[in-house]
Amino acid sequence: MVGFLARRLLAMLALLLVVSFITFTLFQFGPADPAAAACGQECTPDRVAQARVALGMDQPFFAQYLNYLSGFFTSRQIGAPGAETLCSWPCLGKSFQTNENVTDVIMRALPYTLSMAVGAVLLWTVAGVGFGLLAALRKGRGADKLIVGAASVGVSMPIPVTGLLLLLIFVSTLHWLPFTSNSISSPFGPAGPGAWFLNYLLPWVALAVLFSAQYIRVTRNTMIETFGEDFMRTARAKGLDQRSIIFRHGVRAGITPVITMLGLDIGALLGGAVLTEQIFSVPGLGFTAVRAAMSGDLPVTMALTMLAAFFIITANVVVDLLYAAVDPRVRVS
Amino acid sequence: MDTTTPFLDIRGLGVTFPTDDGLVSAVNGMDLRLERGSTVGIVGESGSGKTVTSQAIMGLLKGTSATISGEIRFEGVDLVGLTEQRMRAYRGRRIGMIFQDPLSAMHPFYTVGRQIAEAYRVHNRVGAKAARTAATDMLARVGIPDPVGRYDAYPHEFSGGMRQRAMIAMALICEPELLIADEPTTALDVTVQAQILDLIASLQAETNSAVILVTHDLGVVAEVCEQVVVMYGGQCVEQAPVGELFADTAHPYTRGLLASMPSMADESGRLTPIPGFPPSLLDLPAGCLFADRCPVASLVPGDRCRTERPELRGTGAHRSRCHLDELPSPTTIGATA
Repeated sequence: MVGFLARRLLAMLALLLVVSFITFTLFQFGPADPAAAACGQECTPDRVAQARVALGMDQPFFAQYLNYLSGFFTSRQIGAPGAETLCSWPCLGKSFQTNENVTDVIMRALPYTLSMAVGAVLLWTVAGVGFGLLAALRKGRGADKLIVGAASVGVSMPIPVTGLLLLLIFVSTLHWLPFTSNSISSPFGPAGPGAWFLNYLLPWVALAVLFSAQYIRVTRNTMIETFGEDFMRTARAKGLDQRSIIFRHGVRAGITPVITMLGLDIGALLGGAVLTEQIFSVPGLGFTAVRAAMSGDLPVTMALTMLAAFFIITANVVVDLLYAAVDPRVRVS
Repeated sequence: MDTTTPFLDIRGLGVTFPTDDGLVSAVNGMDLRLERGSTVGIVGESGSGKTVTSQAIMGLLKGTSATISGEIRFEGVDLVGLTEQRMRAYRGRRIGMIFQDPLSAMHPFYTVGRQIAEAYRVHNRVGAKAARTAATDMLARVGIPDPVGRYDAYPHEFSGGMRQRAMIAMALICEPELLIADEPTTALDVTVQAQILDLIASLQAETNSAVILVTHDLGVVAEVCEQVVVMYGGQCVEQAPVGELFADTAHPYTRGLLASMPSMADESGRLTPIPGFPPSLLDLPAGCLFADRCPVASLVPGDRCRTERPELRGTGAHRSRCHLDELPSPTTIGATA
């Protein structure tokens, strides 16, 4: 187990290095000129050149890259010669746009994304697994057909459609819910958990409609398969009651594909739900990433790309570990 | 006709399944009688209805799309009419069942010991510790070495034979009066087969339980059973004490089955397969179900074998479902087969 973890961690580091290099390289060929963007409205070629030096863009490609990487191990001085400011460890650079430490930008956006993810994941898991299981138990009957039908509608509803519909109905027309506010980023803030809940309810629902549809389909299919397994017949032959048969024997065995899917989806969602954050104006990681990419803010874009990669890779490792915890056959070797 | 209630009495059992192609008649009028402490073998090829019959006894077809007719009387109580709830009191407690493939029949994520203990706790109000002790004792009884240590092993860590022993432990831990063994040795090595059969026989002797052994292997039947029921097309075509079945075979299908057994092969070493295929269960013929493959159907006057379904008749324990039995001298006909 220790060897497995060590191997996975090494692979993870190598992968992050590759991701960082690719992002860095791509940026050199991108259309946005950060220096032009940084120097504002009244720009002269002279001031652009100054900005390039201040941003470190006058240096050769590899020097810039290595300089960037050094921030993972030590603090750095960043800025125009003579006017450098400290970027403390772990230094992911300073935003070309605002000159803030990228770490601060991320730490500010992260709570919004976490708030979105927590509720959405809970909601879609409960709804997806619950309805999927119900459909499997009522296979071929009315409830099954209704659930499967609703799931195929849900899975074909893109977030912009559901999101805008929800906003139109519950915010603009019925006025039941407030429009999402930037000031609420966690349930422990001054507004309290109630306001937090109402604030994020619509984004949660929008994400849950899309994701639970997939969870319904996967849960239904794997559970139907599991219910046909020999060990389910054995459980019945023992004289167990229906609930033990379904949950202790059936769900326990059939839930593994859902765990895999859940791990990877959480990983991807933590990287930033770009569309959802845009539509509901939640200033999370996805929202920040879009802004940074559009304004050529290389350090922020790099950091967010690597963070997303980090989440996805971590989710993969966690899924593997969970698999071993759930299925004893995986533990061998 | 008897004054005492038989231990298990199956009469006119019919099982049909609706499918997209039509109604499948998996069992068509199955009869079986079994006394406490005795062993009956149900023999037949795939699709003959033997497994469906055993599942019907266990009530495993309840809640499925299957339609069940007839009676399965267990000490006088008709199991066919029982609700799922009431059937649960029989499963595991009074009727135990073991399956063909012990690896797939055990839950892959739970330890063997836990699964056996679970079977015990369903029907006994005991704590985890007492159940563990009972399961460990049972593992020892079925001949698993180091039962305390093996309790915490998973099914995939057992060998095939050990798994089937564990399966037997699971089925017998509540000491059921009836054990249904559905192809218990088919998935096992030949060397292990005999051990498992011996184990079933010795446990049966200890508890005086009845055993229904479902198999396609007449050799297994000859080894352990007292009574044999030969099934074909979802019907019992011949029922006899095991010695009589081999010595005085009444039904042409049984004769065909015996001729296709390796030990019964002629000197050339060739097996004699029964030509043709079993009847489609979607559209059963009006006459004898075996008529199309039967080598002696032409000996029956008229076209009775194709127009009239024969009844299960016979004297005493030996009964068979063949029109030929009614003819004056069956022995001369036997010679032509």
